Amino acid sequence: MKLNANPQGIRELNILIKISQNIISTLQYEKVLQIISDGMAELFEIESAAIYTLEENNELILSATTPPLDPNMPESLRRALLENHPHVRNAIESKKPQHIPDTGKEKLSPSEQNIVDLRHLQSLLYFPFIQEEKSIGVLILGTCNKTRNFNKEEISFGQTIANQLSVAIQNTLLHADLKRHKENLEKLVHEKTLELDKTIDELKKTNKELISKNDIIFNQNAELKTALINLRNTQAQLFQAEKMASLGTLTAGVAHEINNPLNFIAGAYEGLNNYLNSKCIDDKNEFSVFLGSIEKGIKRISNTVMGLNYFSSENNSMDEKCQIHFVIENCLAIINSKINEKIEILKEFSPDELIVKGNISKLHQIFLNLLGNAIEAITEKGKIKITTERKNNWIITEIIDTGKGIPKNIIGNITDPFFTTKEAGQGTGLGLSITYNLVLEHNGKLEFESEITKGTTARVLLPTFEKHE
Amino acid sequence: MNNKINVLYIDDEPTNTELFEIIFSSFFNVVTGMDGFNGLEILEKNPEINVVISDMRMPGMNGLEFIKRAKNKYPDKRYYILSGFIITEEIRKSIEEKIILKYFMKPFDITEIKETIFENA
Ligand SMILES: Nc1ncnc2c1ncn2[C@@H]1O[C@H](COP(=O)(O)OP(=O)(O)OP(=O)(O)O)[C@@H](O)[C@H]1O
Ligand SMILES: [Mg+2]
Repeated sequence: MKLNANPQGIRELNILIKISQNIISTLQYEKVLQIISDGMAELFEIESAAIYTLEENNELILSATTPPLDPNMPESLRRALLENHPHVRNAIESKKPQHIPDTGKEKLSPSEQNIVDLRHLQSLLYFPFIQEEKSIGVLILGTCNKTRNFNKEEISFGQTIANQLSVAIQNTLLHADLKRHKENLEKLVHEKTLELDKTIDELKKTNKELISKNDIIFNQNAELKTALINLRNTQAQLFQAEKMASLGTLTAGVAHEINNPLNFIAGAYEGLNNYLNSKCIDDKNEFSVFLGSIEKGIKRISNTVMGLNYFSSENNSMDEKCQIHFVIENCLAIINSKINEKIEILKEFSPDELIVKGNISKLHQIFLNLLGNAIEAITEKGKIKITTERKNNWIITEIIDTGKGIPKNIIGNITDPFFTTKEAGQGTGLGLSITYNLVLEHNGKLEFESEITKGTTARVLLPTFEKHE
Repeated sequence: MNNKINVLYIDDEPTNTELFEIIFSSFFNVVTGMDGFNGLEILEKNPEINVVISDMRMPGMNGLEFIKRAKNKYPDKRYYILSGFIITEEIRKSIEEKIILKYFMKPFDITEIKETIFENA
């Protein structure tokens, strides 16, 4: 290599351009070092080159050589201690190039001697790679089998280039660092993602548990609600039972007190009738009007009292033969005092005798409650139509009033115990809840249809006594 | 004595017994008493009585108690209740057990009583 010679200068320039292009094309540390090693060997027209990098603990690593190292060479063989290579150490510590003109005449350490012998090295040049006042490694160039004289310019040129290259080395190191950071970061992100996934899984599980706990609470709540409703129903029934029981005692007592004097009248009537029939009287007609009136009066009182008596029946059996028309007539008779001239009662009864299987006293309660509500719904003039019919195994009774009707938003509540729209003291709100339960006891159904201001239809479906096949 | 059926009627209301006697004497020989104890005495003295009709609610002993006692002594007589109360579980049972044959309600239905007694004679 001859500096300043023009063609030679172009060659050097070309080599330098090649080195820097190669370096740009890769950012891999090992490759960059190899490019430098090869490039510098080519630049100096020297057979042998090597780069040691300095690790911590003053350890050297043989990172690249020209000709290249066997890539399978174990890393342990590439390691060396700085103290065993005094010339390398001098270059690193002085941060200045070192020169051995002839290895034959230089004092070498055993390790140095080994290498020199191995490759028949003769003249050696050491260029430290300096970065920010620190040596990061050494480039060693060596001739094999023959000595060569390196002049000062060549050495300082070499060092200049080595300085440039150390920037490139530093860049790749930084890049590697960056890459490592990036990889670390990615690893970290990955780990964190896994952790997060796990946490999410756990959260999901906890959530699931919470949901199932919620379900349990929800169910318990529902159970409590039904328990409460049952309790209210029982309470209502008890209330009603008590009401009916005292009503029963009262009506039975009243009936007895009426029936006895009625018996006097009936007996006296019979006696009078017999007596007058046995006498010859001109005016029989007039007498028969008197006697007929007494007889009619007795019958009517007796019927009303009989009706009252159905309230006091102690009988709880549910398989009595109950004539529905008889029950309804009876209820109408009992409730007659509440029906004023503004209310017209229409009956559309089935021509057949309709017999329900059930309890006659309870059936009375059902129809008394429904008729009572119908009457109370009519404030001005109105009609109550009662229809009966048999359909398959059902006896269907409808009580249709032209009263005020039931608003849509409360029609679902009217059978709730204590639900009433009547003023305090006017209604207990138990009527329909009792009615509903009594209908259920008969295995029947209770339905309502209503239109506000038009009226209400209460429909009772009860099973027939004999099944209709 | 004729061959009419002999009926004992027990009721604590004199009006009832008086009327009963007047009305039914044309069909039966009627004897009346004012309560269960009185009824037992009458039965003791008048073995010819074949039919006993009693009110239910009376002082001291109710109709059914009286009839049970009487029936114990005179099982072959026919016993009935005539009452202003609606039929009770107790009375229903005594009909099932054949202690009484029928239960009549006040105000009495003369034809019903007459026919029942003749039918069962
Ligand atoms: N035929 C009807 N027309 C209009 N509203 C009705 C009719 N039947 C029932 N209702 C409504 O349903 C409510 C509940 O009726 P329910 O018979 O249970 O109680 P109540 O009549 O108010 O009181 P109680 O029957 O104890 O005297 C009534 O207050 C009324 O608002
Ligand atoms: Mg009501």
